[in-house]
Amino acid sequence: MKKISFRNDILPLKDKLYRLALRITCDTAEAEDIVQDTLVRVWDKRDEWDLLQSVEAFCLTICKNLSLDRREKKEAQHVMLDENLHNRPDASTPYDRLAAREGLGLLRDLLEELPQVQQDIVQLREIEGKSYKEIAAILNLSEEQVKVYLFRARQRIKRKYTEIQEYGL
Amino acid sequence: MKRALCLLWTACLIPHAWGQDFAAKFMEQCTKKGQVECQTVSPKMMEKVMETITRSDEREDTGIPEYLLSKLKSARIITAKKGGEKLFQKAERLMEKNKNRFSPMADYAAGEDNMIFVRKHNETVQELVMLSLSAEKTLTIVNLTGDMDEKFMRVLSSEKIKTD
Amino acid sequence: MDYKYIEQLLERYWQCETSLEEEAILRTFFSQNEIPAELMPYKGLFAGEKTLQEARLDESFDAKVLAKVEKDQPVKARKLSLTRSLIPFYKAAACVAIILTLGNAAQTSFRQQDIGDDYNYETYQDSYNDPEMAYDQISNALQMVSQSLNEASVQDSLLQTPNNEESQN
Repeated sequence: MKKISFRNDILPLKDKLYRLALRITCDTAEAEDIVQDTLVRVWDKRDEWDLLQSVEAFCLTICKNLSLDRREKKEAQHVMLDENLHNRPDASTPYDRLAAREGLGLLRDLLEELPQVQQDIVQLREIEGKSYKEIAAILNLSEEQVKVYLFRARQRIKRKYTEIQEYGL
Repeated sequence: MKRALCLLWTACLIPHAWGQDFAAKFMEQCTKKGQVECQTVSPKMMEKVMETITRSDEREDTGIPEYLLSKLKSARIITAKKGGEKLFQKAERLMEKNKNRFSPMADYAAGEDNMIFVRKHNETVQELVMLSLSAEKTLTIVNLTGDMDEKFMRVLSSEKIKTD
Repeated sequence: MDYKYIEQLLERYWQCETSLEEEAILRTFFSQNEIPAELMPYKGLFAGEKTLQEARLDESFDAKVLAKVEKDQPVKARKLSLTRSLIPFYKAAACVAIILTLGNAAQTSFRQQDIGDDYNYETYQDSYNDPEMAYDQISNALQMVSQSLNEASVQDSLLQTPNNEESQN
């Protein structure tokens, strides 16, 4: 049984976890906090590592749950007005930044109505750039199932997208 | 298998010796298992705890003095919220029945709801049992085994042991 | 730029027929400033995805997490194969079963002093897997005993001679 090391196998997942937390909370500072908490929790459960099918899925699940919890608590706040996004180096013009910020919130809105497994697949495909095969391995599904779920997810996004657009931003 | 046979043989030879601590004996006699909970820390786990403590700097001035831990072999805590009073009396009776095995730490008056009993061997306490009934009628039995010498008892009774 | 190509890609995207590279092309395209009006609606989605894709945690993050986790490191990565960790349990269970059976049945006339008889520690089943939790329990226990000792009038009983121990149940 391959020995799982925190430093080499789990810590490198930090960016993936960050993107997931960011997708859900749309808040960079909050997302960073969540990733830290996630990693500490995963460390606390190190007895269970060897028993897991996929350590990555385990970490992502914890991260997702923490993110959803935090988000619920912040429901009252207008999460889309995240000042941090202004400082992103890759966004050049104000319009770009606005669009990107809207995109983030929009993405979140689009995804959150999907069933969990579809959300996971979209995250892994769209944001992490994983192949169907890789996604299947992480989520313990067959490649066929992944394709079907992704198809449904995108169709749903397309429909919802049209709705949102029709009612304006 | 060998170990099992060994224990079997031992069990045959000394059927009246306990070979177990008070808590285990008490639990055996509890028919309504749901009422009582027994948490166990075995000697193996005790060792792991020692390892964790000795390597951690945080615990220096807080928490349990290392000396106490080093002298403990096992710890068991029994709690019962429902029917605590009856169970407390049951424990008392078990203790009374075995007054040749355990002796009280002090001259406890009748109706005392917090008592400590010890089992000594050559000046060291091998086993310590605390029977306690809280104001809310919760039963707590703390059962320690180990080599609890004079120093141990002094440290335990003189210092205020704080938990965070 | 040939927008027809993008439109085709988009159609195939909804049908899940695009490859990862093609999806990347879509995202890059939508990150631009100049986008035809009819394609503008989708900018939010793809630009948002791209923003998320590029989200990263910085170097200092690693140090923060490792600091939290490092103090636990001395207890090395704990490998616990499920079957291996259950073997002592099975053995212990078997022993307890045997002893209890005998205890109930045997009524011999053996009488022996149980001076210093060993406790059957092998049958002790730990309630906790985590030394930290076990420590907390022990802490509580000792605290209670300590309080009790302080309250009781413990005179020189500590220095009394040991009782004569005859076996009696």
